[in-house]
Amino acid sequence: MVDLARQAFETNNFDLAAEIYDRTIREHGPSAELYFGLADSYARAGNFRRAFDTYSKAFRYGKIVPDQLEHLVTALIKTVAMESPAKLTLNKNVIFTCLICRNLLREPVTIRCGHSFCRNCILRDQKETCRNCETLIDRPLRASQLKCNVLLATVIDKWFPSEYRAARLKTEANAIFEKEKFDTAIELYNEAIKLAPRDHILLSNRSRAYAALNKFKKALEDAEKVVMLRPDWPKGYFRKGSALYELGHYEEAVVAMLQCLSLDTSVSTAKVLLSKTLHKILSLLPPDDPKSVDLQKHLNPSLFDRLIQSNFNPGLLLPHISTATVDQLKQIIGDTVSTAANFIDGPNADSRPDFQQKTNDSTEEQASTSQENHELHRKSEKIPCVGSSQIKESPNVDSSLVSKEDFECSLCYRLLYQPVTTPCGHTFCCQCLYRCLDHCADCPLCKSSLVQYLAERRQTVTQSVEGILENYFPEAYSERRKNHEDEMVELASMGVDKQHDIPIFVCTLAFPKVPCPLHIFEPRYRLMVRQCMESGTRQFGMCICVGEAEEDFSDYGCMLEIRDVRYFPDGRSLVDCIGGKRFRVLSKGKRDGYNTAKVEYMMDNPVKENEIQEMTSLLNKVYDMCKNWIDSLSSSQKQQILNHFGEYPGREPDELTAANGPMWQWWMIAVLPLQPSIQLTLLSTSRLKKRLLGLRQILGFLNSKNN
Amino acid sequence: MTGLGLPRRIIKETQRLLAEPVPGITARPDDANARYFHVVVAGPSESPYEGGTFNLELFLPEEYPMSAPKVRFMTKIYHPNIDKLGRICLDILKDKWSPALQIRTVLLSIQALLSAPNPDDPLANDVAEQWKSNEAKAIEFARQWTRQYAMNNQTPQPSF
Repeated sequence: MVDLARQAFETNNFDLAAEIYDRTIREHGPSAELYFGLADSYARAGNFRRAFDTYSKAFRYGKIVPDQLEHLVTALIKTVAMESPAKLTLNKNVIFTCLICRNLLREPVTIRCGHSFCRNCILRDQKETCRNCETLIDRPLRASQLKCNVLLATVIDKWFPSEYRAARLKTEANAIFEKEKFDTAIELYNEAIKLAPRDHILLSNRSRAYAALNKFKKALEDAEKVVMLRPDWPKGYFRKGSALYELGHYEEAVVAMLQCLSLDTSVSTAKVLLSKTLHKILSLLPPDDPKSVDLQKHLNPSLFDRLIQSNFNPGLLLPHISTATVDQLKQIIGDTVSTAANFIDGPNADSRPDFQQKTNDSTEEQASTSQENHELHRKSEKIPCVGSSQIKESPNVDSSLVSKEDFECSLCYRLLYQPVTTPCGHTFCCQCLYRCLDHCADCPLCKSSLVQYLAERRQTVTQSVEGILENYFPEAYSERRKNHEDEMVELASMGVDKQHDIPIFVCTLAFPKVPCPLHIFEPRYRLMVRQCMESGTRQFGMCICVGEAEEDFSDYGCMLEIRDVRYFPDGRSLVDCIGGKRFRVLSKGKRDGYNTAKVEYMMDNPVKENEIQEMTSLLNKVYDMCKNWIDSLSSSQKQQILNHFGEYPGREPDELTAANGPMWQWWMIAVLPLQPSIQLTLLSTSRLKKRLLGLRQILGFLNSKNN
Repeated sequence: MTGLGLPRRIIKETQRLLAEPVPGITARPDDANARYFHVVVAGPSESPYEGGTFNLELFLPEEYPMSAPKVRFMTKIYHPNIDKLGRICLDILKDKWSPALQIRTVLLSIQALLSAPNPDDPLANDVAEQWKSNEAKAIEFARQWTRQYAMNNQTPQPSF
């Protein structure tokens, strides 16, 4: 029977397991093992009142060690775990706060997604994704590769001098704590807390130091303050629970541990302490052990009185952890968490529901406990509210320390715009950095290789730096944004009229509607393509080189529309283009290192009425000639042409009236083995007839050569 | 970085150079061309160029700061890394250029080059040979050239 019950339990069929255990107990009499199995089944089924009742019976029948309570712990955690505590709790709109320690950034490191964390925090944290945006982090991170964000670190040290000094004291104190000089550590923590009274980590560490000196009351006080400052920080509850445990307040300790675990189910130390505490509570029950009763009386008289009154009824003994209470607990944690969302405005102890107050069956004895808790709350309220900078979204900073010059891009000498930070920790405008990377894949400031950075085409803005710019230099930043947008408008208005230059790629000739794949590798053209994409025009002009000098490009050209850009890891790209309008160059210019031109778009002259018949027959003839020529090619030649230019286009209904004539003639002009000068002549004429006659002549020549 | 006229960066660099000049160096933009600078470098003390004032020209090409400024000594100088046309062999003006460098850093580097000639990476081979075979004599030449070409030459003029 027991085997059957176990089997049911293992297949998560807890109700069935409970039933079998229950029947077995009734049929074969009680035993510790059976009660324990039954209790585990109740616990896993979520029936905690029965579970505790049964656990206490199990405890009376045999010796049980804390580790055996793993199912109870698991079940409790599952019940209280927040579905996604991070979403509920964290104010993610932070500038100076590390979302791991919830403290002022210390040695900030900006990771791939643009979010910044303390160097030590991100190194030690186990989470596989960014706490802010859930982007995957390449763990394990190597300490040597995590470089401080130089700008952010400098600004934080400058703007928050007290916190900076406090952070240094904290490092010192932590080291001394490790050497077990707890008194000295506490003195240093005291000093640091004076400088940064709302630094919850300082308080948490002092709590730990007090605990190490067995000063649990003091440890609890600090832990209470931590929880108030950071109701969403699991470790605070852990500190609180540890102190409560040592003080013998086991029930409150359980609540604290569950609060901790509800925020982060992975805190293994809290799990261990939870089972130890539950074990204590359950072990206190045996009525036949006077020593235990004495201990109990010493530690928690209220609990002891209630034990007597209820004639040691274990059901009444554990009101805090009945199912209803767990629900309440969840409610409380939910409330805690929602106050956490508002903690920017400072914690408000009064609005936080107190666990003891919420329990329905609160007795006078309990009231005394809760009074004690209130005492603690009141004490913690006395924390001065100065220096709250690190938890406000944009804390007030001594204006004499705030200087726009600190946020100047070292490349363009303007205020940073869309700041990006390299893995080596240097911050530039995204545009400026990418322009440098067109030339050389090294950091402009420290020469570290940015090959990987470039290959990933990482362009994530450094959130903290942008946050500073938006909050502390709102006018200058919006002006900077406007400049950028103006530049984009300027780029976007290329070719709208004869006044706006179009970018010119001096390479080969393109023809209307004919595909033209391009390999872009020169830095200036990388910039040109990027600008075309960023401004949204997605087009540029292409001309052919006709002389020695840079600006000796042809007077006629063809627009290219970008259909797709595929980047190589080193920043080169394959740009899939297709020919657009033809143009005539009016004047030449330069921008950012590449050629530009003011142009006039051109189209064919309309075919005269009396020429229509002649032209139609010419079109038919030349089309067939072209077709014959293609058919005469070897299959490998044909394949090459098709791969590059696509299929030979078919006839179109409006061949005589289209702005550029039929598509197939351009396809032929592109495909035929012609000198560029001839191609250019055909491109630059606005007479369809001239092109067709030209084609006919060329084909005739080619045919006669073949024959 | 787009747009017409002088990039903001060049304007700012110029303003700062004028407001806080590098000690021992003056650089002022040409009245007609804001990309062209007239530079005067004082020979560093405890170098064979001490007491001399060297005229240089510095030009910011269209691609600046993506490409390095073009700098040339206008005053004749006896130095293993500077040839008789005044061209300078300095890594940051060539492959080691970075857009985060600036006119100021270039001028400081040139000043440093005068203090510490590097005959192992020569531009003027004959000078470098002399420097390596007989440094004392080379330094004496350098002093002599300084006296001859770099003193009492306050009005900038091409020397050759």
